[in-house]
Amino acid sequence: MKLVAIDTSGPVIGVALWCDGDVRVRTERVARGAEARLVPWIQELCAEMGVALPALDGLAVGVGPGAFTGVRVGMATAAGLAMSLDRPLWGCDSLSPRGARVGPRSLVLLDARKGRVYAAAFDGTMTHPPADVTADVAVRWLAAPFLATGEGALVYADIVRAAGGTLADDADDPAVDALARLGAAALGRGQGKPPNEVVPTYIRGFS
Amino acid sequence: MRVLGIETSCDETAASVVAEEGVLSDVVHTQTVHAEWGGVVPELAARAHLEKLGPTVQAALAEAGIARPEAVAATAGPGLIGAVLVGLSFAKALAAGWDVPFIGVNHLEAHMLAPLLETPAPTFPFLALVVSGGHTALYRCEGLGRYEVLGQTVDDAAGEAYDKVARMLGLGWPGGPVVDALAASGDPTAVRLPRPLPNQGHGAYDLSFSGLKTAVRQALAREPRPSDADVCASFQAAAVDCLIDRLERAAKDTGIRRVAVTGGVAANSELRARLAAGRLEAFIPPRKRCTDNAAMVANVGRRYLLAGRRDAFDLAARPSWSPA
Repeated sequence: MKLVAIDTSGPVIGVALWCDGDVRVRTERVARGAEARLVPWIQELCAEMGVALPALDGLAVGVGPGAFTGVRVGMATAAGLAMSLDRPLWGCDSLSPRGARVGPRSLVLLDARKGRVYAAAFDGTMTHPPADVTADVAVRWLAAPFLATGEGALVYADIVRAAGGTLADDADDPAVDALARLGAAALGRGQGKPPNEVVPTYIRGFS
Repeated sequence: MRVLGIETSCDETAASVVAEEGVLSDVVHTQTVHAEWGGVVPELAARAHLEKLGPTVQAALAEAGIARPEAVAATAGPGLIGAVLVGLSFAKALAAGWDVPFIGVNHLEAHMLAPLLETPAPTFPFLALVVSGGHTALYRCEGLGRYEVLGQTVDDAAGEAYDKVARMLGLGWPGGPVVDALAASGDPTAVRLPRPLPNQGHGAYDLSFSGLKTAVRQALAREPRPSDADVCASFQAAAVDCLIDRLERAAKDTGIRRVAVTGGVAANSELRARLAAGRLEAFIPPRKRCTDNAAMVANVGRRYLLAGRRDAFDLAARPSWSPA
């Protein structure tokens, strides 16, 4: 199984190339300009791992919640590749791979601005699906001690610690390696879709 | 060379294939979601682009009868940044997957050169008036990539003035078509409105629509209130007078009598009629190529590609990008 995974829902964006269990990633903290990074990174990774784009079996992409524009840049890139390569696309919420990266029991927080976070909790399975809440609410979803990750865990580190949580190492990591691993399994189960059928999860309306 | 063009800079999601023999397909999905907000909402526009772009591109390829193009061109700016990013990101990924050249296109240059898709087409040099809801500028076009800004609006774009007048009259959004339609039954001399002149602290070919908009508001406050049709006709006459005046001045001063008029406001019936009856040699694309479309993007992209230019995949969006 060979696939490209993309997540641009947070301030650190990432791309992974999964090649039969081996994975390589590119990540960078960007204020803007994700659109200038993604395709060059994918081409670099393909060159490094000796994979031609047409050899991909599919793609995986984080569909949010997260920064609206960021989510769209990643999804448009993934959809464009899926369409031109005629390969399936698997859309995954942007919080699950971040949780999977640090272990089965975790709280994932992405900074949603306005004093809020996009949060999800995992304890073996997803116990609280992605929601737009305050960090104070989210930290009550898991009994202490728990591991917290995601950019929002850094932003609201005091609240996480006060609730008995511990910050994961590299908490702002976009977890594209985990997304690639989840994506390989999902595509293997035939869960990839035509790109037009993969839709973003904004959760929040516009304003 | 068959080039796929993609346009997502405002509220039209568009894809088109242009080739040596002409426009093979020209698909435009106009977003209707903005009407209830009285104007384009950038976040809603970007959301709608992501939803519609895939099917729009597939329709354009199918209509052109091809599975893949030989190159991809996409608007890289100027425009609403969130909207531009959807089309630009998608386009680069398509080109990478198909392993074909990619080029980013300036939206205003695409409008300027849109008349080159038609027959007869203007030959260089020509003047180009790009007039829409977001832009109003007059260019001197000497050749591909060789442009000079002669003048531009110092405040509102012409189309923006139409939208604001329509809002004052409670006519909904977008204002251009409805003001144009109502004007047909009104008296263009019923309401006295100013024709702001150039050279009042600005460039000789600059335009201003802010004072005209204010004059309309004042006219509506008078008793007896003029009819909506008379207001529309009088406003339209004044706005078109200003546009024609700058074009004629520029043509006289430069000695260039070929003028291209493009952008959404170029779909206006009064402007088209006045240009058709005027002394200038006017090139106005059909209405669907005046408003935002992707054939104009593919057209410009194809011309640059044939001239040997292509962009790298690290091309970033340019929300403010002057073509000159």
